Amino acid sequence: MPFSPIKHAAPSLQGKSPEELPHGLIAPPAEVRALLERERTQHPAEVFAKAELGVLNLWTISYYFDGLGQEVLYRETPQGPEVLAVGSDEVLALRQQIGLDERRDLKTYLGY
Amino acid sequence: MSRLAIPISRQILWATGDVKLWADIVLLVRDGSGRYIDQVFRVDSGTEITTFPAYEAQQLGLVVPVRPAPVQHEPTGLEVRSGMLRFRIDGMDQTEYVVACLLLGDPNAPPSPHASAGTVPRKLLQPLALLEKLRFTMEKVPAGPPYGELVVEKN
Repeated sequence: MPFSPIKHAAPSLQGKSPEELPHGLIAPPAEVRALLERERTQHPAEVFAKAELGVLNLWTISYYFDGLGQEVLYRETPQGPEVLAVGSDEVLALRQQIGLDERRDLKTYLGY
Repeated sequence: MSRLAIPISRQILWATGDVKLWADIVLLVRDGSGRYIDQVFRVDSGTEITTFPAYEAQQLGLVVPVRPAPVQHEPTGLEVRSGMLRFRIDGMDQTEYVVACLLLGDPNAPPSPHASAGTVPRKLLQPLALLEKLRFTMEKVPAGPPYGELVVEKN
């Protein structure tokens, strides 16, 4: 199926400081959900089922943060990623606050 | 554990529909007080030298030379300092590894949010510097992760 370029959120967020970028629970946009459904057809069901939560959350994060160069720490949820920290200062502060075992439940998006 | 399998990530490049693929590894970087702080690096043999943001190195209390080298980092135009990273690999045993790295950017200021994506200092791990102790392979098996995996093993 041919791909139609998608106008995503990241360009409109370019130049904003980390604290101005989205935080908290982010609902996956319709474009991400549509791509996810297309992707589902490309893999065996049991293989994709194991990866689906991670893909949904990663693609939602990338929709908003790709190319901004800001590191993002988030928690995967079935409703979409919960963004806990954006930018090196927030991310390092959070990493120093919580234990390693808890940090292992979190995901990092490098922003590039 | 002496073997780590990292699922490869895949993402659509929204503007064009092209596909980006990568593998990130969690390194437990030893900071200036001896604690290990997890830092995510992109595994990138193309970088030639491991790179790390100078600002974050400063925040972690790593040794950051006061004066930058008399050259610029060509891909980003940023100032460069020579540094070292000591780390364990999260998910593997307690072995500590040491690699030389370039500390990029101003150690006293975070990158500007107005900086273009290409000039942001990146966390890139050059795996070839670790081949004496580690083996890196990439594979895709039918029941494995959908986009394959990067396997890191001790020699």
